[in-house]
Amino acid sequence: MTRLLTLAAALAVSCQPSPSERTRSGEAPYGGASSVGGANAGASVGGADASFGGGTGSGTASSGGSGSGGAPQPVVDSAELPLRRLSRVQMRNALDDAFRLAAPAQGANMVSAYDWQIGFYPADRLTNASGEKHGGYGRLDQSVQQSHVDALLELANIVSTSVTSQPAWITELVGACATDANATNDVTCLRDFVSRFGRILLRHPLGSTEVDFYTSVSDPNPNTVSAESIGKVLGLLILAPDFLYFVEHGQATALGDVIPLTAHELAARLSFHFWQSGPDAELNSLADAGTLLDDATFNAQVARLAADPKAESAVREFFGEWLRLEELENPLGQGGAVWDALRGTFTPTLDTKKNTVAEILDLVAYLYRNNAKLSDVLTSRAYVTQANDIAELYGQPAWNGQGTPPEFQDPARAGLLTRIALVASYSANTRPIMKGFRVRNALLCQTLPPPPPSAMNATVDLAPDLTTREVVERLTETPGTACLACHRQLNPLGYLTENFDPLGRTRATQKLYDSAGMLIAEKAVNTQAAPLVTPNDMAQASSAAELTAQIVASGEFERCFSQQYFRYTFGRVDKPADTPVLEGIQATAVAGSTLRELLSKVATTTNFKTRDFR
Amino acid sequence: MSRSSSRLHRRWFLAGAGGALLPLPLLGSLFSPGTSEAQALREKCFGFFYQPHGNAYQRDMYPSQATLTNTMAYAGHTIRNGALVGNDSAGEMRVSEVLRAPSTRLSQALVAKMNVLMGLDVPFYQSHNTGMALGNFGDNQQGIKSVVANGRRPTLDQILAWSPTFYSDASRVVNRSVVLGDQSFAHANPKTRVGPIEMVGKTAQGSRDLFDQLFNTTTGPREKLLIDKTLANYTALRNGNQRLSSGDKRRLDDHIESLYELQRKLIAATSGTPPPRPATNSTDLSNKTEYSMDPALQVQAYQLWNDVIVAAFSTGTSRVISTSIWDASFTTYPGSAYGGSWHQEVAHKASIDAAAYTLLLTSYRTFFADVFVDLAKKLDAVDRGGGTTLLDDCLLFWTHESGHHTHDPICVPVVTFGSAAGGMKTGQFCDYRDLTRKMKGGDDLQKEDYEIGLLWHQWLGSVFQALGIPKSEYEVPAENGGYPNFHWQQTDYYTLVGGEKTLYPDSVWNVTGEMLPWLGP
Repeated sequence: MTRLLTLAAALAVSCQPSPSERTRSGEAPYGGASSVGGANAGASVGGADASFGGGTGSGTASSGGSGSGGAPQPVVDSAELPLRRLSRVQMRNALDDAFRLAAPAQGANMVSAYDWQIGFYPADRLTNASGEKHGGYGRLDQSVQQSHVDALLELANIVSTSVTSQPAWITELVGACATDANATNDVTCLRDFVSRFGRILLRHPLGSTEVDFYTSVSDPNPNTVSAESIGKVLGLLILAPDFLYFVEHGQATALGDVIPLTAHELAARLSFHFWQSGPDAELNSLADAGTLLDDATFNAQVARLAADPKAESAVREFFGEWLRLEELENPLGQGGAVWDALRGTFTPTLDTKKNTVAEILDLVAYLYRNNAKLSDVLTSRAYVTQANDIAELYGQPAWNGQGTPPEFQDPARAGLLTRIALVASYSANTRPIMKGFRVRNALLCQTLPPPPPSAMNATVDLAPDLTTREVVERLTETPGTACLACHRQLNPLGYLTENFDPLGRTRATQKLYDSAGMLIAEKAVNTQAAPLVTPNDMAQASSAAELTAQIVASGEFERCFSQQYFRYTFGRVDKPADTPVLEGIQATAVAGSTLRELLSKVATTTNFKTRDFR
Repeated sequence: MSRSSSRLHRRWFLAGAGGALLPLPLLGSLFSPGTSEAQALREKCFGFFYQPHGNAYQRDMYPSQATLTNTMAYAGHTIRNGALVGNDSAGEMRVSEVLRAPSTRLSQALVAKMNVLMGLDVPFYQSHNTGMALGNFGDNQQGIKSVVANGRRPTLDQILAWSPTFYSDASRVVNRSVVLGDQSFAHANPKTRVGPIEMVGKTAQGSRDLFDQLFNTTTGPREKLLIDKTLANYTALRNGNQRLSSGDKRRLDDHIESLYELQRKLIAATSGTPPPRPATNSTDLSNKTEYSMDPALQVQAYQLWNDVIVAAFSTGTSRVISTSIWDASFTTYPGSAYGGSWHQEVAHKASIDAAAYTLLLTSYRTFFADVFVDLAKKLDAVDRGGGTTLLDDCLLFWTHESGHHTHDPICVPVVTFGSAAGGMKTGQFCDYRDLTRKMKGGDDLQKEDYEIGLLWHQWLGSVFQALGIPKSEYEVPAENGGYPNFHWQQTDYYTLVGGEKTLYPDSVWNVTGEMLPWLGP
């Protein structure tokens, strides 16, 4: 029985007991296998290698123990994410764009009428490989909990009542036939609307059986197009599995486990990947004609989508999550005499944290827009902040947003690693260890074991006679201690930006205060270190610029990007079988391709165009 | 348009015996003291409250050891207990340095409804974790492979939420569990316990939002029709013959199950006038700039939540709540003055720095006095008839992320209110530690050793038992008794004085399926 036939049968469906109610008596207390990978079923959780070196799994420590540790439970191990759902951002964009597309004049007003309700839909959690406690991507949060289902009904209710609240909106959305005095055209009117709007929202042409199904809720008076009946139809469309999920069946005639996607499935993947929203008219047209399956057409569409300004939304989301910008402290919460002495005349505002993050996102969007390379994200000295508070920290007037942005005036600003978001702790002390961890773990994708329990009470305090680096060295780099092995891989990466104070301002010396905030000494900061960008690279560096050059030369940034962008693209953690794809992306990046080409590269892989149905 | 304006109101009643329904008192507070004239149904409620870190010194967290007047040989060692004593002096009732509150709020009668439990351990290093206290051992920062790979479990509150015993009659249940923190985990399909185990997201952002969810729900024919048709749509996709992977089908099954649950919630049988909608939402307070530095404002916000919890428990719209408290709450801690955060500068320094410890202590004290006791008192003001109160039918459970040394889940404190309708004896201070088996603590200021006690599995199993949940719903006896089924201990980290590395002998594991001594009715 096909789905359409099943749907037809469902037109007269009545409530049935839920599957679990029907089978409960036959179930054991723990009725099924659980995946240990949480939302990332099948995620790599091994990676026991405690030394850095770029494993794709998490760096978990092995440990001795006794007992059974719980019976190993079967893990769903498909290469493909099962029934992937839209992220909240994607869902919101797809809904909003559908109304804007279907009602160009009033669509924006319709969106405004229901927009407040989106806030009640659960936000996506940043999710990473199992065992990794830092970083992660919202797209990897694939959970669909009761709260999602409840909230979607609420959303469907609010949207459908809001957009049908004004006759003029109904006229534009559904057609004049919906509000005219002629009742004889109502049935056709509603069916046409379902065909047209359903095509946009559900990302495929609706057959007559589907149209029958969606119009069936227009009861009790199916012969009249009313606001109520249109609202019900809209509600049912929003609640459809084809809206919330990427429902993919693959090409019907294909054989095997890994099946090429249909043109419509491919159009949806492309569109949500690049634009975080549903396909536009051109993509829909090519999908309907089937020509999107032609390589040349497909590649041209990839290039078109990647070049469109709408692609910047996903670029901003990806880099923001990759660089872990959400971890930035909020300077508004700080206080105390030392903090006040340190900040001087700088007063953070409600927007300082947001502006700090925005600078990085604006930078990557600017670079993407201007066809820059991946390495430019690291090396660009473009001065893009338009916020006065951040400009004050940089000591350079904010950019006016017009034309080409200037470069940093301060030669110490060597690129990404010296931007406020990456050097500021927004507290009274710098954090060399955490700065180093972010570079090592987030930017280079190199893992270290978690700190030992004995390290947990150690804190890096300000001292009256030592720089922060000196405090860190005494605490973590004493020869012969267990701390040294890891901290020699972390600390130097942080020391190299110790010429920036806790607010990210350039400094040559560290001011040392007593607890009352009185300046008692200044000591020169030492940025000399061996960053060990790769295990065998013992080269010294003395500045962020030199560190950046080492990273660029190592290819580690590109390798890390390939892994992270894979995860972002496919919504899952990479596996050993994905290595060829990762290596392909990395090679493209190392060859100096533009960001646009690089992001396009992923979309042209077989993984992107097929689905594993095992 | 307000959120509630689109919804149809229903009347809500306090459940009475034999199906009698009593209108809720419409007083200034949602549920000011009121007396029902009928016998109340003895439906049990569970509330979980969690604060991160731990590190409360034992000498401050617990009552005097001198009150432990009884001993018993159990699980291979001697355990102790005594009556929980509240000392009422100068308007303050003091059970311990942490457990104290104005005697107008914490009366002797309320102390008699408390328990304080000492000497309950998780048998491996956890560091920072989420869900450990409710039985999910797999999400911890230390990343011990065996634990991460095999210790992931649904949390106790979520098992209750989907327990056919706990919610034997779900006809009035609008939300099976209210999750206000990050400690709850459930299978993708929590009812059948199939699918990956995921963190359960927050039920509501603000107290009035929660109220609206529980009491201003829509039950119009439109919603019912939409859900019925949507179920048909999902079922058609699930059972059609177009290509789907097994994982796709499992996800569709999960979604269909959620739709059935939504359908059930929409027809939750209620009628009448809802309780008065709170004038203030907790987010009205928490969104203020000064909120993070104003303990009074924070207390006020949590008390608003308490009002809604009482409303939920009283009406049976939900009987399970789990919440966690933001770690820097209830003090005027100025933030990261020295480059770290509350995490680094207070919680991690509290064992070596007096000023840091004072902040930590203040946070715990304030939560207890102004939030936990506030809730207990409000629940105790709801008369269930027959000399019992709503608090008597509840089990409220407050704990910390770690024991008296942060990151170490050894001697994690447990403070409870309520007897779960007679399922658990109260008014006791129980110390389950084996004082002969210890490890040196040794921090400069704290100087408190570790003593090995009984297992957390046994405590969670005791909670289930007190709430009347049959073992078949939570226990896998072939593994171990109690909850979770995770028979594993770390043998490469902790070392007892004398060199022993296996901290928990079989004698301790063998009793995990029993109710903890002195707690059974």
